[in-house]
Amino acid sequence: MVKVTLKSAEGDVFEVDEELALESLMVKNMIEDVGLDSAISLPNVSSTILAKVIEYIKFHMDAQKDGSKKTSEEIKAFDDDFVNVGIPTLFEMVLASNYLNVKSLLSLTCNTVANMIKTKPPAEVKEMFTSAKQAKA
Amino acid sequence: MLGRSASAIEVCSTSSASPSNPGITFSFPGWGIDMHTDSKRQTAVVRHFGGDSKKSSSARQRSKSSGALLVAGSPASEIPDEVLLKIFTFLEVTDLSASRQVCKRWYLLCSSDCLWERFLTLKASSTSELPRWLELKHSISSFRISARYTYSRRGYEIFIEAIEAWWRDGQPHGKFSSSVLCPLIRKVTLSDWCVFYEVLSAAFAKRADTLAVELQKHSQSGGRSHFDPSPSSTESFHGDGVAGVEIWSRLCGFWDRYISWIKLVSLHCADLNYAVRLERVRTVETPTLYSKGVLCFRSQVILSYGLRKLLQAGLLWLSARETEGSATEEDIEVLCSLHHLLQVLDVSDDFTLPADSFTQAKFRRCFLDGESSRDFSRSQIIAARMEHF
Repeated sequence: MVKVTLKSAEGDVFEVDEELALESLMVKNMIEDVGLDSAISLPNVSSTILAKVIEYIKFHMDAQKDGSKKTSEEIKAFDDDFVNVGIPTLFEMVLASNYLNVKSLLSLTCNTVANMIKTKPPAEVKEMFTSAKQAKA
Repeated sequence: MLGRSASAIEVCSTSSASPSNPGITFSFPGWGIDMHTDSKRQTAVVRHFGGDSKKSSSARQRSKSSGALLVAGSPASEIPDEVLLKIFTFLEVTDLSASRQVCKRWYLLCSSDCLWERFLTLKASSTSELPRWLELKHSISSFRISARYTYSRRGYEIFIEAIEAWWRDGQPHGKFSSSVLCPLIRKVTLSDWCVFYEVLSAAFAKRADTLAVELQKHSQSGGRSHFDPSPSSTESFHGDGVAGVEIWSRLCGFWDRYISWIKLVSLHCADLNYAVRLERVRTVETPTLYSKGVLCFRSQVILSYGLRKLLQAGLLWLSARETEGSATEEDIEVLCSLHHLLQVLDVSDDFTLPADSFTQAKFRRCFLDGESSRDFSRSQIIAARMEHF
């Protein structure tokens, strides 16, 4: 199987199947433009986040394959667990999925953020977003 | 080469007035990126988000001029607008209006039409006319958006209920009294009078339709099961005439009730009528609520299939009796009231609608000019029928 090399912001190299890499529309466009010979560098995505994104895509690709025994409950449990991270990490995942253009992950993370906003007073929402930014900096 | 770059610095430092950071500044408004070219021709890209202290003076000026979108300390400023919008699409009305209070950027984003559109059961009919729509948005910005939403959705429902009750009772009272409805009407009108106008027009048309159906029932139960389309003999002319006069007197009764109802609604919608008048000045001749009600009556009742010919026959018969001098007092009374009614009904068409729904010409031909030509020939009837379909 053809492999695609992805390079994170820190310079770490991830080798993934082409099929998996094509789930990211941004990487797909890159491959179409520059081919598979050189590593595709993703300066906006850190290694930890890129690893998580790959984990997510891999799980969902396996779940969609024929003969997969995963039930919708299991998939939902995975998704819930996947986004059960700190706010800074969650925001980074939002940004990464937007940058990499992975539609399903973007929807999942945005929905999670929206659920965090829901029923909170504006001051608390503001606090949440500001502290997330400071923690990152 | 050296001299040229030196002069470039001079020009720049005088024009941009930033002594600490001389150089050429390329601004890309809205990108959040400034490019600085210093004297050594190195290009540095400075991203200025929230509390970035490295802002150049031009960037600071710009953030002021662009509505303080990049105010220092603005939360979540790293997340781009389109992602925030995506997040907001998962929110409900209450959360969306609460999010507007987080910061100025969120306020602007949360006010986007694309977020609110999905809550509106009645889509604004006017979104295609963008300038007027924008103008409207500015004029109603003093309302809280959630309030606007609530009013525009609930408002129509309540109002339809209210005018149905007014029709039943003949006057506003109780739950639907004027004091309850007037503020509501004002808010709905301000929110989007075009939709409100359409809602009311639909209610008028529905009411007129109901009346027409009722009248037709009477005309059928009134002894004559079938209607001869070619009244050539005097006998059938007489028969139709009598039936027609009966329908006319009934119709006049309906009309009195209908028009007082229309007047009642129109009276309560002074703001709406004002908006319509403004629109008339600006563009096409939009009928006021009163004229709209009259128009509905004309097209749905008087000219409706199954009633129009009977009414015509009745009118001709009455006029004939009058000229013969054999009309009773009662006949003359009906004739007077129906002449008055015909004059009232002769209003101009709704020019906002397509031309094939205009009824004034047809109405005049059928009831006003038709008086001179007593015997309407078969071809005329066919032509009129063709027109009707």
